[in-house]
Amino acid sequence: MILKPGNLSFFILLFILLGNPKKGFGQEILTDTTFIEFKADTFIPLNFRIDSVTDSRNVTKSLVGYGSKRKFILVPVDKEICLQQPLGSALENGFIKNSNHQQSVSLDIKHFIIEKQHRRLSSYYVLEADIVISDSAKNYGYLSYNYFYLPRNKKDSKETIYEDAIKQWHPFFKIDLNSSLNFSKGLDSLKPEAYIEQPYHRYSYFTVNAATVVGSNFWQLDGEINFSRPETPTSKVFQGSIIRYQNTKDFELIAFGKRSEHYLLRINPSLLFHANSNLLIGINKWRDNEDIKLEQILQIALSSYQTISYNKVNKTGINIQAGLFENAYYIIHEPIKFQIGIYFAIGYKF
Amino acid sequence: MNWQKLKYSLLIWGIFSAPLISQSISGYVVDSKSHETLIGATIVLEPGKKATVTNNYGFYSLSGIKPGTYTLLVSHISYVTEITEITITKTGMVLDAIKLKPAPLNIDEVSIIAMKPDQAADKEAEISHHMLTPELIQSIPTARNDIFSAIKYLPGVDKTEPFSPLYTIRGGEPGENAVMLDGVMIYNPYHSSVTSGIFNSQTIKNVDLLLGGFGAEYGGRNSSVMYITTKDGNLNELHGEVEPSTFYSKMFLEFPAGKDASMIIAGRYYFDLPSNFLFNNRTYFYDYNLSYTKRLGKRNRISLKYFESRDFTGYNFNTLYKYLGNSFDTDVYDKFVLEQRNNWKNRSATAIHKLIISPRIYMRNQLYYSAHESDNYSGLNFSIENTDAFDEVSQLRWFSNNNLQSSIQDLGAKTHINFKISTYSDLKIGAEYNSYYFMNHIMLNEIDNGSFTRYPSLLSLFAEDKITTRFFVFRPGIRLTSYNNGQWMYEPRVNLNINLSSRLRLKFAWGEYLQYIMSMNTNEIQMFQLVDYYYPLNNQAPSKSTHYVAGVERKITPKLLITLDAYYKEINTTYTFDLNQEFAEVYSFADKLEYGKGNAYGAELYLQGRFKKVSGWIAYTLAWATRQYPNSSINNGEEYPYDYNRRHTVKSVINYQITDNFAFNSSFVFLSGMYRSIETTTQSYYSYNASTDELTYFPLYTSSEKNAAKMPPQINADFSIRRKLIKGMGRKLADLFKADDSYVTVTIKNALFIYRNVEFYYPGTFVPDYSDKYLPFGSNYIPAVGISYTLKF
Repeated sequence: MILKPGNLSFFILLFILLGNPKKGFGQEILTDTTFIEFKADTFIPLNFRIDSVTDSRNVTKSLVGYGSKRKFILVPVDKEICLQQPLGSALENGFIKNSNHQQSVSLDIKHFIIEKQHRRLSSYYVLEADIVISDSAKNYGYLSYNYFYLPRNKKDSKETIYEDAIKQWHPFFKIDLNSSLNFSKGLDSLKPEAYIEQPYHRYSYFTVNAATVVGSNFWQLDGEINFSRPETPTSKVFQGSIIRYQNTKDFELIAFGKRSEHYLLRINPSLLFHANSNLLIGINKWRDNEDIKLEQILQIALSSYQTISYNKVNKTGINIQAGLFENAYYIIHEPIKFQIGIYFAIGYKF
Repeated sequence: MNWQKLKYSLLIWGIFSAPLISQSISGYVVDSKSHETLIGATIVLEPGKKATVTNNYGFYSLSGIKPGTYTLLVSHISYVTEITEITITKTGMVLDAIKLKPAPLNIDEVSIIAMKPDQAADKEAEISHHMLTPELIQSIPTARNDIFSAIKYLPGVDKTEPFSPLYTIRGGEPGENAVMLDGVMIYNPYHSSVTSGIFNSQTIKNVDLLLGGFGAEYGGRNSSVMYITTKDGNLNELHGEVEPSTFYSKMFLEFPAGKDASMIIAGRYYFDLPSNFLFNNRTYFYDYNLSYTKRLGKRNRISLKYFESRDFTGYNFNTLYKYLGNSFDTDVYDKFVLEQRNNWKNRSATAIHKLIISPRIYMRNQLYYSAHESDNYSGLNFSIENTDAFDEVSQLRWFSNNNLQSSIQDLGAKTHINFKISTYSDLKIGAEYNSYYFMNHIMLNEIDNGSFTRYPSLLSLFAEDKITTRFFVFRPGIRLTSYNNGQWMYEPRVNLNINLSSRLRLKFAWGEYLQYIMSMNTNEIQMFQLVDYYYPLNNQAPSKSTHYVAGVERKITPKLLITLDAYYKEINTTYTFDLNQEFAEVYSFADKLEYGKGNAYGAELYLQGRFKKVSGWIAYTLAWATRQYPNSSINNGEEYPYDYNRRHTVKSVINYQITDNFAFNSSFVFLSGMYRSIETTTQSYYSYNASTDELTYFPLYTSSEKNAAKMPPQINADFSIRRKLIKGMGRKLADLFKADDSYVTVTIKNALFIYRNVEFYYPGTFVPDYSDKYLPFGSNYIPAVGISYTLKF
């Protein structure tokens, strides 16, 4: 085989050759950090004094996100996107100092990250933040954000995108801060969407689900894991991964889906309507392989379920789902086939 | 037994071991967080610069010390040096365990090579010694965290058959390699389904591989010793590592289990789900380790360890052939059956008691049980229509199968005592008793070829003295053995290291080695010999080899070492089994044992260490090996090149720690071709089935000369990257389980794809246009990508 540009092996060799162990080379990659400005809102006044803003994240205190880029085409290098000052200070400096207010509160940043998230057909940026509000006497709960941001211009640099995302989010945060305190004191009847009155647990709930589906001519077992943010009106769409075993009269199937999409509609603090859609790729184990061709061991499936779920809002514990399941699958040389069944699942939210 | 030689050996000890009565200190060196004992920590006592290194059990002993106050410096490559003041009394002292704090990670210091201690105590007598750590094993891209895959990147160690986990060292038989897990001899420690070892690397603290010229402490095998030391477990808090996956998962947990006690639970599970779904094959393995260690004061430690592994490999390609036949509209595969089934099981249990009797005397007692069972079947049944020149149609048929069963049980007890006689002399004496059970059964082409069951025993005694001065380390030793209560046989061994300067050292070793348990060579009847079928000798003299090794070692920098070892191994007595019988011949084990002899010699050049952020090694080996079975029909009794000899090998493992989050690993192997017996003659068998009116033609290929052909060389280059996850699901899982880190490792096997590695040649007699040629086969050049995820906490 001839080594030429375009071959994977060429670039591996190129990387080795370029990987001169000269001091500073690795360090240069490690410290590939971009600094951005915290463009704070300066107009919205707060109805109270901020005593302190602490940042209890277990990361660099100025970190707001990670980027990634490839150096020498192959090397995936992590890029830290940091503020020019610690995030706690940046937030604190963003508040208008007003010593006339009697009441003071402290803020604790538990989680703050801006990430690019991918859905099946789209991608966008999300500013995730969990900030606990308390004073010397009381813990008021926390503000939890999943602030969606679509760049104005697709060609915007990551630095611009991150700066703009924070700039757009910050006024909402200040308004929510005022409103949530007013709400907790009974001065305002409107609860901000981002406000969660419970004590802070974690920035992401991990759920493991085991499901069974029974149809007229098949049965199946699904195993699913997902991470979901604390539940607010803006956090009711999330993704997970799924593995499926299906048993039909013709074949057994093992299939995988990576971006299983979940949609939640809360009915009451314990119940919710839960819909899900999956795209899975699997392999068939045929019962009778007399006429089966090699390419027919593959299957593509598009499935969904709609259930009523017992799932307590922002609390860990058991959850139970029951509802309907639909599936359409395609095997080469055969027409698309449909399945419908009863879905039942039991899981645990950590 | 030659008592004259024994007397001389004892006289040598007497001269060098003259006790110089003085005070001693001893104890353990441990990790401050986990309390795991540390191997290779250097202890220096000032003033006086008396120094030593902790042994495989983390124990040290310093003697020749006058009462007074001293400064004790304890150092280890991965730890912060500990300096303490101690006062030595007249009675000597067993010190509390010295706790070393792990050194903070410095990107410039990250190295996969655990260099031997640099300081005054660096006078280890072992030649041809390689030390592997879990970090090093992990850094080899396609070693898959497996010891047996990793060692094949070292000089002097080579793989045997393609797809086989067996290995050969310096021209020795695979069955001449001892594998010991915490002192327990393990038989066939391999998984067949993934051609890897049964030891979970997460449980391993250290692996010592001795390629030749090893000391009298080790016996029972002629070629090499692999001594694996496992962890005792974390005494302070829960720690572990989890690698979850759909088909292959592993877990390691270590935690405190009561006062001064720790436990380890570790296991792996693999199920070849795609193969099961695609081709109706059933292949899986599991293994698990349990360990409990209790510290009773400063002097006593008791460990209980249990290990079990199970392996089932079942490959039947009929479903695949059916699919292929339908896809390509051919019935050529309809009468083709190729099947392989391997069913293996290993168990070992041991109780170990370590005792510091006095500051000068350290004792280790052990009881153990080790068992292995294997049941291997492989068969081929292929039938196609054959039309000859006269348009006569007959069925061309290959039909061949074999089923080999083996069962081994080894119940043993051993004790050894380390006695610090003087500043210069460390005496080690020991005894071991083994009671064995062996069973073997062979069926060839569905004909029972016999079986046997034997219950031999072996009593071994050894004594070895290490005499250490500033200029040299001299280690004479002797091993005495009595097999089946027979006469005593002796194995003298000598090692000598001469320190020419602080950077240059000469090493010599000579030793005689006896082996009573042989391994049957079955590669003549099996396509791949995957396990050693052990055969205890009965009325024959033991297999014997004599090692002569000379080496020079130079430190280019404190972290870069180059060694050149030359060896000559005289194989005085060896045996093989001439199993390649004619079709239907009745077989008897004892009749097929053939006496032989041979030799192996060569040189190994090895550069290892670290240069800035790059660490690893490059090795070149030049080797010859021969065998001769004078009274047999094997090659008409003439000498021939040994099966697994490779003249030239070049191997390298390079780790480039680009950042503390990102490491690049590569491995490269060039192997000269092995010698092979290529089929040159066809014997034809015809049979007629009257009921089906079918004429069957069965060709049997035979070789006229053993190992007359040489296979082409093999070249493999593999890469991997290991990346610490800082975002995404991997990081969220790490946060959830409060793990310290999570990693993803991407491995690219055969990345260069520049060379077709031929592993077999088959005669193309019945293939159009290839009737006078050989058809090459081999898959060890096809690129493959693997991804794994690890949680470490």
